[in-house]
Amino acid sequence: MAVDLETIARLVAFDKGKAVPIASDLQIVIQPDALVLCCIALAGEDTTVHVVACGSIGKPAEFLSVPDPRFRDDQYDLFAWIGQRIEQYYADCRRRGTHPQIWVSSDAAVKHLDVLSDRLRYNRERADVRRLGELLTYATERFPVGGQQALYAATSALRQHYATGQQAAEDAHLGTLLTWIDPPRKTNILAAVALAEQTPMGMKTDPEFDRTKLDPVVRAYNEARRAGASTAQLKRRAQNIHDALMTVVSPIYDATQAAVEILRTRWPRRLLTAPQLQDREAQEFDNFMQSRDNGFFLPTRDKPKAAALKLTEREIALQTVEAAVCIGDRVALAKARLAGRILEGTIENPRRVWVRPRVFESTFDLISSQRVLRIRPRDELILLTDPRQRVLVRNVERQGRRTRVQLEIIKGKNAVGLPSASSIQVFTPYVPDWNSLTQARIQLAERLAVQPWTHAENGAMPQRVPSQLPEPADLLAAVEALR
Amino acid sequence: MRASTVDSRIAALRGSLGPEEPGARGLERVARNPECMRLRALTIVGVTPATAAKEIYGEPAREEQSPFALALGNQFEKNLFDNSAAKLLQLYRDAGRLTTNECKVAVIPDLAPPLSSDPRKLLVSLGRRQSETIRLLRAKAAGNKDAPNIIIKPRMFVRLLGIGHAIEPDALIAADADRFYRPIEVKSYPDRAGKTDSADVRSACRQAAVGVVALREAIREFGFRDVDVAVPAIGDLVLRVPGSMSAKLRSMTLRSEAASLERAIDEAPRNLDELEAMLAPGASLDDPLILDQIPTSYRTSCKEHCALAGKCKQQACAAGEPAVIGDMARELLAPAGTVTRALDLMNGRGVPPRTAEEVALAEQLQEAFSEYRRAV
Repeated sequence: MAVDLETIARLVAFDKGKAVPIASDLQIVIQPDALVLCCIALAGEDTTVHVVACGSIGKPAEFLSVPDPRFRDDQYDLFAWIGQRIEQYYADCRRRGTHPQIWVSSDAAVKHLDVLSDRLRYNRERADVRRLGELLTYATERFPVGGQQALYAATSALRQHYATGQQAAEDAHLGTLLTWIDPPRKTNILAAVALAEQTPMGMKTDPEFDRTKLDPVVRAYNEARRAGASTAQLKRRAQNIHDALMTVVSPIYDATQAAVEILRTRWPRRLLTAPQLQDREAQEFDNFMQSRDNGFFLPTRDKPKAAALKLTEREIALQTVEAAVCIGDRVALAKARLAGRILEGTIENPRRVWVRPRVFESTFDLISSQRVLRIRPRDELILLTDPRQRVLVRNVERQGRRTRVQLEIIKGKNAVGLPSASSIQVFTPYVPDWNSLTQARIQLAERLAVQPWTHAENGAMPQRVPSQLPEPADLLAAVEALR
Repeated sequence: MRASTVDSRIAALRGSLGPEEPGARGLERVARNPECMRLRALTIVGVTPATAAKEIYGEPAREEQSPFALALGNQFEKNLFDNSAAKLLQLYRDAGRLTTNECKVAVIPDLAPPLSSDPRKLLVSLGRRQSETIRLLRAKAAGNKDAPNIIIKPRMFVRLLGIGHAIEPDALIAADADRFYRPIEVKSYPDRAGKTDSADVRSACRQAAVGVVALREAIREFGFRDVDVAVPAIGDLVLRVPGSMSAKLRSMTLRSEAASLERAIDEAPRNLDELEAMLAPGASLDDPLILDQIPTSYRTSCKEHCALAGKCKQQACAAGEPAVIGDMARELLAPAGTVTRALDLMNGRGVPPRTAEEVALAEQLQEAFSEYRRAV
């Protein structure tokens, strides 16, 4: 196992007592009017929201709480309140032809929104609650897709840009991450981090807080309600609950805003492919809203065809974004070089050999000093600086600490030409292809026009049909040739 | 090894602290981080990490649950077990695991006097729960058709160093045709299929695996030889439908969980010898200085289950253990031993590499560091 750049960055951060950058460019596109949403659930009741803070980035929040989210009517009113704000925001985005962007504090908060969207979008009691579920579904369904711009956890966004001197799992706490990024002066970083950890930054309150502060006031409210207390009395008790919850939700909202501010102000260089990412998100958002306008139903679980399409979409998105980041970001390129995912080296023996009239074979050797290389003969690689040129790996030969890779140009012989001797070139297996998703969708729609027997109800295994082709002499070579 | 001898050795190691039952949660905790000698030592002597944090180190133990979550969990369990476990029976019928005739339910707490604060009465009550459980398990093992299909809150034992540690799985289940029972673990976690929190599922599976181990021990005592066949490493998780009190049933294979638990239990006698050899004669674990001497193995997952995680992290940081920056770094930087040494190797300062492994690591670190510097 080779030492990776992440480990190096964490070592440096531990040594300095301060987070260090792990990217050269801003990897995400921050929408100027993005919405910061902080929902706190009642412990154990993951489908509830006890208090919510909602506001645009750089703006103060609006807060709303319910005394006890286990009372359904109160809870639905709160959902409707959130729904109004999100509906308005989505409508504004549609009008401008852009896409919405929601920021939450952490991955736990993303999971909470996901639970809510799953649960609320089938609500039969109130249309406004169901609508909130549907609108949240856009953000939560986009979240697992690489390069999405619809829903961001502040912790994940910061982790894309900074490495801390602690374990990756500990970076899931927004407070500790912010402490590593801006450590307090004259305080030991580890002590400061331990202190920051005491403040909840997810979607739940601290059990100790529940026991000593929240439970007594919620209990008092419920007892007063059962005893038929006056509206004024109930209001006062509800205010006590609100005040208690404000001490939890306010710091989370502020921390999320602080995270966005750090990314907005300290990362002036944007990724080269940012406009493409934005365009794709806007297109996805438009498709989603069109489907809602047309009354299409959001399924609980995808059927096999939809699932295959979504899986493919995720794979392609991940591949595209990785390639896009590699092109623009120096650190991502260094990571890929170290992991052997790209090939970099000095050109030797560039030659153009006449094969037959008007046909030449262009080959060259590339001498790489990379410790790890993940290439094999027959792999196709693309020139990073000019994707018009594609090469085929003919042979890979380890020579002591160096590797000699024999390459043949298969595309871009004339447009790009032979690389000059002694020049340093970088080849990559992928370049971002923003149209590949559409092509894949068409291809999959054709292939899955008939549901495969593996997914059909009571699908019987089809009869074996022996191939009519002659058996190859060398079976292993034939299998290899399929690559 | 006679149990009484072991008992006195354990009591001596425990010092002034009272014995605690680790329960299923405590036993599965050991299997989560088998390399942690401190956790194993505390479990062997019968002290929970929460007690160790509070009583030995004088630190607040942050292991408690929210009263709201507790109330929900209790309500969910009560809902399932009320009316002779009518809802649990229905769940199994809907899943095709029990027929309508297979409706024999034994609620162990109902067969024994209620739990009392009087220690003597409490002992009688717990003893009765245990004897009733054994009676029912024996009936099933003997192929008695009247043996219950569901046993709620059985009291069973897992032997660690010859001493039985009581565990109370939520329930046991067996159809009439089944040879023996399998454990049921009831959790109020929302079941979201593939999106269910994997840490929650892992923890529930490990607790169910403790039930498998206890059932195997029980059936072995009844004279069965092929215990793995009679009690396969399978358990049922009963989780909550999100936003409702309805339950969902999931059968889980617990092969690796049960194997790691059985391995931890098998190693316990050697652990006790090692522990005694490590400490000065007469030393006991209730002394923080003594407990500090016992090596730990701090990992990312420790915070999920151990109240001593914070303390171990402090010590790991002070010692510069590579684990403080991640489990991957722990493996990669193992030849260096500490973060400080790794930094020296990376920066080419300090003592030159002493071993071939250090030479290789230094080369890798320097190459990666130069890449990093070039990039940022």
